[in-house]
Amino acid sequence: MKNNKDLWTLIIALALPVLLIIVMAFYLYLPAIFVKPQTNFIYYSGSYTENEVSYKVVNNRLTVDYPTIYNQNNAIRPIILPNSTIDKNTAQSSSPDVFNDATYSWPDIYLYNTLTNESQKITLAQAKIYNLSTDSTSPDGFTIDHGSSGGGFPFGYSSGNYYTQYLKKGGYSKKLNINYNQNNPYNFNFLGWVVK
Amino acid sequence: MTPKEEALNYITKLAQTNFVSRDEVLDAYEDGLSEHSPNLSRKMSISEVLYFIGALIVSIGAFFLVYNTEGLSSSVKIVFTLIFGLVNFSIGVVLNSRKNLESVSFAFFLISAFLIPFGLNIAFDAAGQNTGDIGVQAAISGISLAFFFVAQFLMKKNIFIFFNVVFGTWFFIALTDLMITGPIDWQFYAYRILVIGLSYLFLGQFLKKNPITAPLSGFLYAFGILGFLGSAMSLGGWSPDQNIFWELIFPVLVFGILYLSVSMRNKSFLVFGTLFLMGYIGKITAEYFSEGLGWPIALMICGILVIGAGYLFVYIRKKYNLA
Repeated sequence: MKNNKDLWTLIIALALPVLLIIVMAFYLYLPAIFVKPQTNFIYYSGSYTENEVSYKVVNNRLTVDYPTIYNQNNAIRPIILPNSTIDKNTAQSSSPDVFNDATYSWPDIYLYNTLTNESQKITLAQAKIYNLSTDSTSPDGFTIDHGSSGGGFPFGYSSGNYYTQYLKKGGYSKKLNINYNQNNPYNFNFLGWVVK
Repeated sequence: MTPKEEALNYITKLAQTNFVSRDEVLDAYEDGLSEHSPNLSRKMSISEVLYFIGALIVSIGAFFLVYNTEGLSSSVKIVFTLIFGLVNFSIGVVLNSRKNLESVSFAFFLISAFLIPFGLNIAFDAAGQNTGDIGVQAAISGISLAFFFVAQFLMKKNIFIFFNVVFGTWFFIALTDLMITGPIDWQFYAYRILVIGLSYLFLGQFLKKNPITAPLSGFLYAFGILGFLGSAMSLGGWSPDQNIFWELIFPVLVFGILYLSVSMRNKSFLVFGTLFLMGYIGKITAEYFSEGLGWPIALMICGILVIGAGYLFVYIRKKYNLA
């Protein structure tokens, strides 16, 4: 006959996993009630085509990074930047492959409202107005991170959420509704937190 | 006076002076049972090994039949897996009820334990569910656990306890994965294994007390220590991202395990405790002393300490006669 000590051993053995589940529930779900993100951010989703520009933040402002494009002879084709001081007529006369803004593909830029969890498309000119912080952590302590890649015991989980982006702070995490580029549905490029 | 009467008289005298309690006497009695019962030292017989291999081959056959045969409908696949698994379980139940065929039931229960979750996987797939989804995995493991839990409740066989441990662990992993919707620190996975390991150790201790279930405790102790100490060591991390708490507490845990190897007279605790002590010495030496002292000197110190750990292993084993 088992005595009380043995019974307690069994109770502890079974209670430990249950206790971890309870701790996890508190850690994961409780912050959602109290944590309210304040800082918005901007991002874009590119398609990685040859003539697509990319964006980057320099001195807290958004700038455009033009791609290097090669011609059939593998030589760099000249480009004209929007604010170039090069005489466009001279450039065009020296090369038939001169590009201008219309030659490039321009990925959409979005302002993400972290409170309402919505993406709003904005123009390049609007994006350039914002003062941006490229720190990985927002001023109110949030980070953006992707989900796990899945994999489990014993059949393996194929539906990992590796390409899903989350807003995260401690145990709190919220799935972000990112507007991905249709040609490259997993491409997410964080540009910066919108700071005052 | 016979030795038996002498012993009982002695216990009576000790009880009269309140030197020992009733529980202590019972504990000592049950310890004696579990340590000297033939069940504890019972190894898997050759026939059980063959049953196991046979069951594995049957299950692999069913697996290939379902996946390598073109044109099989979902219902046929379910028949070859889930229904076949249930039929095997039923045969096992019938054989288990006959004394001379009881041991053969082991093979049929094994086949059912392989095929029932596999068949459930096929059934969920046929129902249009994504079987890679964590929720479906939790459902498969949960149903399998419930099934064999009821089986254990009704038939009380060690093999069902083993299945419950396996399916319970799977269910726990799937359920905790299900709770996580976003990214989570890797430490969480280590804590999860730590809890599973600790739970195995307590379960092993519980099962050891009963001579019938005692053979399972060895398996639970081994995996329990491996999970517990392995995750505790990984939680220590590596410089410069180390966790000082876990790095400092780890040797305490290892020596705790070595102490338990003596008090519980268990070799698994001693073997794994020593191996982890050696691993810890190597880790700490490489982490903190390889640069300051130079790698060769650090290796020499590490080697001497590992020899010390090895000597400790031999000393404890001989002194306390841990077979």
